[in-house]
Amino acid sequence: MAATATSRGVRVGLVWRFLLAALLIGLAPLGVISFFAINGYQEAGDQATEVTRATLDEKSLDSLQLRTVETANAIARFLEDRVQDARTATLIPRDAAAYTTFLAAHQTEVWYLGGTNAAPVELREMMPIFREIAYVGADGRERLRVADGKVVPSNQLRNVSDPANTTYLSEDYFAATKALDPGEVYVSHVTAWYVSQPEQLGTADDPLKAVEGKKYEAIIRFATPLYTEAGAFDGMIVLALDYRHVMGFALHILPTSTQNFTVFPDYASGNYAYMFDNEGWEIAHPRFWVLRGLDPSGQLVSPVREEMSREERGRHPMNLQYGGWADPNLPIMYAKVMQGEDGFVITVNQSNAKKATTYAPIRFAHGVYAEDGIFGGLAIGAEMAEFHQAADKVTTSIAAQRRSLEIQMIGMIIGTAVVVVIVAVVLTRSISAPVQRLGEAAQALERGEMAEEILNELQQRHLRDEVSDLAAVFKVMAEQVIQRERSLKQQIAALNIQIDDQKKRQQVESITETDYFQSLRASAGQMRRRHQDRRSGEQS
Amino acid sequence: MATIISIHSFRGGTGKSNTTANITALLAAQGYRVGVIDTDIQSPGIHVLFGLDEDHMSHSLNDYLWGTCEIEDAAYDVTNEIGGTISGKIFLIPSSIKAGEIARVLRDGYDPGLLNDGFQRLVEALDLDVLMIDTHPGLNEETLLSIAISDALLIIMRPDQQDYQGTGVTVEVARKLDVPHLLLMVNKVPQTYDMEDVRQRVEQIYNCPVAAVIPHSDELMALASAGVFSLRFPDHPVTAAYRQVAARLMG
Repeated sequence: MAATATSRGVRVGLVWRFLLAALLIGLAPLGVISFFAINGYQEAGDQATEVTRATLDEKSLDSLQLRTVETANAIARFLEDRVQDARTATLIPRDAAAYTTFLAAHQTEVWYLGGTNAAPVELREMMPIFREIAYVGADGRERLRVADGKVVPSNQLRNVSDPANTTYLSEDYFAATKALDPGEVYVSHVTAWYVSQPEQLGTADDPLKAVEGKKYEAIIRFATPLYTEAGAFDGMIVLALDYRHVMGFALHILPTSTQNFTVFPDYASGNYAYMFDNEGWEIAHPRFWVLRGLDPSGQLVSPVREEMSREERGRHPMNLQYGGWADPNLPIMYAKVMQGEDGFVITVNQSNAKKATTYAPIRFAHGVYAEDGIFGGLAIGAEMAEFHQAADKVTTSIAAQRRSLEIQMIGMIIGTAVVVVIVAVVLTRSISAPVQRLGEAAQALERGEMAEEILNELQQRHLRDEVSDLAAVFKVMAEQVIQRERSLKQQIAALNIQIDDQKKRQQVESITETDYFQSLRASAGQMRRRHQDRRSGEQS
Repeated sequence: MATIISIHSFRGGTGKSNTTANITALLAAQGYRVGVIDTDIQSPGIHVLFGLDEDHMSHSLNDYLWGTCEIEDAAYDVTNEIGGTISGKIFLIPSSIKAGEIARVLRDGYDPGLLNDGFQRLVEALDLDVLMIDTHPGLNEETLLSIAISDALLIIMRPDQQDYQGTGVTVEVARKLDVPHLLLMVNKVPQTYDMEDVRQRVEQIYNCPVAAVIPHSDELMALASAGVFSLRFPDHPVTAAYRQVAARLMG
């Protein structure tokens, strides 16, 4: 229509308006709801994870702490039992058979890695708790010694009153034991030849893989003085505890796994336990070169220090009292343990991973430990990330569910959009199509035509609506307009009555020139008169 | 003195028969004895308006023309058939509506002179005051005869280009036949026209008085074939117009 061309503004069809409105009404709330739903879900999930994580951390720490204390107590009990063994040893006959039997009778399981570096084999084997038992006379001379199940020949028996004659060239157990009252038991420090890093690792780059390397073979001496009935010193019974039985308590701990125990810990994982004695020396650790040890002259190898080179550090053991440079917690932990306290410290490593270390004292008050009442400490380290594996699973599951929620929401939005578009298009068509048809009818009317077909079709639609009514009214209006227009046209014609005079004359002549007309004309007046005469006659 | 009135139109469909019936009824209502003769033998129809049943039509104008009866035998008194109070009389002489009769007239023709004789005899036999002749459209011999003997001629036309020329010819021919009262009537005029304007223009063009300009009326159309309008609606303006036409025809 002409009106459209001249009207100002942008033309936006009904379809687009409807579509826009429907999309706005249909999708906006859905979008907002989706946004909040997803966000809320995420938030709730995050909170749940955080709470779970914290709870798990706390619980894990508690349980780790408990395990540390329990294990420390177990070690203490084990040592205490050995004290009893030492006392028992004074009562058995002092002969080779009885001693051999004694050694064989005391056995517990030792776990260790055998085989080769390339093919390690986990082994669990019953082994004698004591490697040696000896009867030493009051003069310090060994009278009888059974070592590793064998009776030592008499020519190899030593005078141990002189430490230089002892196995480790510096042991003073004879003097220390001689000073004890009856019934008391001397217990030495962990005594072993020092094992350096190259010696343990050999060609391997990690203690776990160094199956073929040198082992830390330590002993703890247990000695009980003997007295005559008169109360005179009568020598002593000396036992050498195979330290592997003690070290196993610490090394087999697996703090963050459901398995709980391992044959040999993975130092690299950070999840392992270690022990230190009442002097601060480390005495159980997967890296043997940090452990207390003696040099070939029988002197303690000095502790590792910060200023040492990397290579040198592999040749000196760790003493917690002097280990502050490596980790400030070490001296603190040592001090706490020596005060008889258990607890935990949390350290953060360079890769920002948190590590918890729980510690507990091993209470033991014999021999060199009598004064402190503490054998040493047990520490269990655990990477905290592994505490909340469960919480992380929850997080992962929440993230997955959130993704599926997002996909569902997006699917729903797309689905709704499609439905809205279809409905809007269909709805608009049903409105705009008849309006358009009505427009066509109006255009027809503009040309002076009656678009009867269109109007009837619009009026007789199955679904009647305002457009149908409009069509009906329009039809009446159109009829009137056309009628009026036609009338106007006729009026103009009526004002112009055209008569072709020449043609009329010819037509009249064609009639009047006939003989019939001439005679008719001649007689017409007469005929009329005759009628009238007759009537007149009748009347008169 | 019987007055002979011819109602004519150049073309069919002008409302000629209807006008004839209305004028007849109005004259009869005034007390006149009126005869109506349907000379439109080729397309008869006026009998319907007077309520004459075809089955009761034992004789017709055709029978008279073939000489099988007297003209008064073909006259039917329809005074009581059309309703209304009529003090006069209406006699109808219909044409046969039988197809065979119509065909015979078309084939053989008839002597127009017989018509004139018939008219005279009819006036005498029925003692008529007025004889109305409903003519055949066009200008054939019997129409010319009817016009020639008429005291008054009413030419009906519609405001239609097809009527103008023929009406002009008819008016001219009628003048040459010295018809004493020559009147025009414009019928079926759409109501959008100014009736007075139409009257003036038609009078000016044909130089002939216009007895009435009757607008096209839906009522009229609806009742046209159902009976005589002027009797049913005596107070209608159209009836007044007919009454005026009747008066002017009677001079």
